[in-house]
Amino acid sequence: MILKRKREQISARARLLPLILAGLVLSVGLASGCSASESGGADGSFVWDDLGNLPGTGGRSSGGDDGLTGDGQGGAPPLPEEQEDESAFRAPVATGSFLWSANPESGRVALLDARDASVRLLSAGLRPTEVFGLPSPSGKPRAIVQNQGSSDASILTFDGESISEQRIVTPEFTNRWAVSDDGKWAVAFGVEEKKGSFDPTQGLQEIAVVDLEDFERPPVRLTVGYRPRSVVLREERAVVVCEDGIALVSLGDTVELEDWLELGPGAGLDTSVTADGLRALVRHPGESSFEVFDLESLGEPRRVVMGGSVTDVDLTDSGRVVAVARDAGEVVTFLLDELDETDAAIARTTIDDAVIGSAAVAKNGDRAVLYTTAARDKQVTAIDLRPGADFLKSRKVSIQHAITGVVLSDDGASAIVYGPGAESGKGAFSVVTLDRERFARVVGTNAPIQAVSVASFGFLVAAHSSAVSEAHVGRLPELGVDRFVLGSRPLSIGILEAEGVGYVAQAHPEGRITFIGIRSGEVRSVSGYELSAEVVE
Amino acid sequence: MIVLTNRGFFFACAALGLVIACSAGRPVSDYEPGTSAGGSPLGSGGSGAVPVPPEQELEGSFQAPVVSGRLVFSANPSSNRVAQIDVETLAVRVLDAGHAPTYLAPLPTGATEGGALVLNTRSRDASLLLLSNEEAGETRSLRVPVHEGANSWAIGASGRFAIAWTASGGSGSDGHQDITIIEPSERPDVMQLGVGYRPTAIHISEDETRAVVVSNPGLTVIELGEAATSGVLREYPLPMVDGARDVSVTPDGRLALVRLPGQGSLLILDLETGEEIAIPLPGELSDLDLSRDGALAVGVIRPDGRDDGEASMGGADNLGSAGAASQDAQKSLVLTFPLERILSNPSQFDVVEVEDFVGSVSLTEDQRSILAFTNALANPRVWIIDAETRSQRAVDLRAPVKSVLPSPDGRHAVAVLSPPSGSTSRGAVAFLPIDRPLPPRIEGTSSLVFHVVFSPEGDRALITTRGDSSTKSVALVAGFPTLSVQSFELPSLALAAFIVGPLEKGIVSQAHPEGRITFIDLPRGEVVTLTGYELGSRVIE
Repeated sequence: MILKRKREQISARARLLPLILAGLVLSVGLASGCSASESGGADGSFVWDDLGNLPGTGGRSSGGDDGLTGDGQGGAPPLPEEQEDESAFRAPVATGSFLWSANPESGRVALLDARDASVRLLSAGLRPTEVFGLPSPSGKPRAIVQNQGSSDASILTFDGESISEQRIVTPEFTNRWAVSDDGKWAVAFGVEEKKGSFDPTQGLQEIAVVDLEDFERPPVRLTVGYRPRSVVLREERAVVVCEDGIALVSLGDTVELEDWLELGPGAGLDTSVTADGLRALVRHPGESSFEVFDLESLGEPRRVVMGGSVTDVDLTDSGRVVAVARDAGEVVTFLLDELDETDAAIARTTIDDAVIGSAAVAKNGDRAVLYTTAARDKQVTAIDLRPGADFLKSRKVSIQHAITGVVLSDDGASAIVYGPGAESGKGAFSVVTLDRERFARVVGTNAPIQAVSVASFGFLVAAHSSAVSEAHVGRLPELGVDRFVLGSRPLSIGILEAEGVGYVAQAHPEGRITFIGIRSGEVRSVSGYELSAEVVE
Repeated sequence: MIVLTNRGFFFACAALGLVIACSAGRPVSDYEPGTSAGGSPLGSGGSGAVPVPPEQELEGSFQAPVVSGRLVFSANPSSNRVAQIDVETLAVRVLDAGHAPTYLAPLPTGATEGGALVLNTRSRDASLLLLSNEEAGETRSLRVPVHEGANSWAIGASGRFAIAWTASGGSGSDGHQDITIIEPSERPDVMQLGVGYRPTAIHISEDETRAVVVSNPGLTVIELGEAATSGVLREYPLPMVDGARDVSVTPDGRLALVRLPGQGSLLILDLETGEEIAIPLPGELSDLDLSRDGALAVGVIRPDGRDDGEASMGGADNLGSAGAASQDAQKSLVLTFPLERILSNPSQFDVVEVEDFVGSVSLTEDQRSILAFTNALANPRVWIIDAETRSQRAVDLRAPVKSVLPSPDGRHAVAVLSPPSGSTSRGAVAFLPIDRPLPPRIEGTSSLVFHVVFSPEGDRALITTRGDSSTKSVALVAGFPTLSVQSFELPSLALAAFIVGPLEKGIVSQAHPEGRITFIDLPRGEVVTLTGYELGSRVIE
């Protein structure tokens, strides 16, 4: 499955799919990196000097005064908004030990068995592009493939022998699916992946609600608000976050738009919905508070006030909320279930000597990483959110590069911080341990970083440019990193936790996937599987 | 009450719903200077700011086929024929008309079994195409003389009377003051009368006993009856300001509401007694809408038209979605006039203040909602005001509004928009729920929106766009309340659109030398195009 970085990655509000089975961990797509000021070693690793600086950085401190602008003091210009790296990455979807991979060029969908690299092929519609995993109560691997060229979707089921297909017509520009936990309901919708890719009059307002248990029942087309952003499905209701509000759709014998919560122009761009679809957190840029809406009563929201403009609000599946007010250096956190009309449940702290504007929180809510994308503050702040003596204890970790985003492992023990490299056209990432105090492992890449995937035992980072495609595989907690050259441009990556294997799907006319043993380092590429003649290297 | 305001045709048949034409290339009206116009120019601004242009009434009609019941009538001035097409079976019958049949109008059932009327411009007569058996499509064609230059129709609700008149356009001193009153029947009665200089509209009362002709000097009230008794009852002179005036007549023909530009009052004229009531207002009305039953009138005073100085313009001419700052200075007034109450107490009208610049207003048919907007400035907002509770909410359509058309059931509306900044679309429409606070749906179009028509039940709308040499005409079918939209490309330039409610068919006539009509099965979305029906041989695709 694809989990977006940052907020959407770790919370349910932008959940496209329920997490698929036990095998899949965080897999993240990134925009291409920008230039920065670091260089990498031949193997993509760095050696620190005694001062904790990288070669060539001239002894500059990594966080204090290098590139920092606009903390509001001394007349410096204000910092821009924090940036969310929301580039969609169409991962092959893993269901158990199986990988579904779509090839838009050939129109085929491949089902690869990660255990033995066997391949099964199916011709889908025109330009199958996005793949989304489906829960399968029966245990049979299932997936939805969106065929961009024919505006329909193929619902695929593997019964152990062959793959069956059910075709469903979808609204134009559909590129996302949301599926309920029980696998009964699915919602097809379209999201503007790249700003400006649609005309302002194209609102992408049509969604289709599909009953996956009854294909005789035609999909119900509904109109929601302008430019949907995400869909959360719960029993008998779909919550559709749109650019200017939230549409509430009833699911049942009758499927219809039952309510609309107007949030204001653009407010939906920073709205999170809890996994149970009962509440929404809304941040209005520039305001020093954020709102918690009850989506059942649709009454007045609970307002949480901070000491300055709220620059980020994160929500985890576990209901942990972490909000950051950059100018005030303030962090606020609470458990949503404990929030009442008083501030009793709200914990606050301030972080000094660091610019923090964004937060990335572990899925289990135990730890978070605070950072900024708006200033070149080459450090992050790790903060403990576990109840107890260390609650809100923080420490700064120097990482030597600017930051585009942060991905945490599900258990909150590690984080990958990525961003532009020292030179134009390069990238860099840092491995930060959160469960113990260690220096970050900083790695330069020879190309901008495309994707990051983190598991409890290791991680996988893919980078690409016109000159090189490479993957970096790391082992946790050792922080060992190896670099592998890829045969072609990476399309998507992931880690099959049960198998201990990472995979990189690549652009290839007949299909190519590289499997990399996270701990063994063993590499195996499967190419040409669409020709039914597979080459295993 | 049937109204013709322009040359061409305005569809009175209940099966057709409301027909609106909207095109940036069309003139606002065909009125000549000195005739009434939909909008009114401002008086001197006083503040020195650039004056805001008047609101535009973007309603029009077409010289195009018409629908009567399940039959489409299409006139061909070149062949002197009228084609009659059965919408259900696509059977075509070609009827002989006079010389150059041009201006068509549907004839409602009631006094007759229905059919159509067409003005033959070269033979100075009209063909009455009377249905004698709709099932079999049998139609009888009769010709009656009409005055020279007739180019418009006004037809009573039951079709008992039809009035041919001349909507003036062009130069010259001819007053076009003749009208021809016809009683369509097997033995039609015909009478010609003279009315005021350059008539601009004719209203026939619901009971078809009166016709009111609006012309340059004022109003002419005509008694309709047997040929011997029909005639002019009385005439009322009315003022104009800078050649502009707007007149609305109640469906019963009893009252005329007169709006004059620059005047802070509304004039109500009792057409039976001649009594005039001038209602003082807190500013100049920029628009006035009358309910279908004539019981309620709704008007709007723009911020620049207010007398109380409460809201001066900030000079903004673009109130985009983010124009919150400029909104602070913009306060418009929406007024409701319950007419019976007003007549006895002219000050008994209600006022709602809207914190925005609005200058046009539309009342839903059920009179439950008032829609306020402006097309004088680039304002993307439509305000929905509950007529009873006065509660109001704004709906942001993300693009400047040109026109807002409520559905017959008052639950939805179609807004015609100008493409927003940054858009490559040539046109845009929005579909908005009125009865519930749900989000609107915005759709860009590849060519200008040309025609909007609703089904009688209000559950569908048919919108056509008019392409040019580089773009195709398109028909959009919208469904309510789901706000679903289906798009169909049309093979030729769209002329007119209709919905035949009972048959659930959308019809789009198009420009083609041998005639072309596209039929859309609305529930199924299936399309059939009939071409060449006038040749008697047709191509069905």
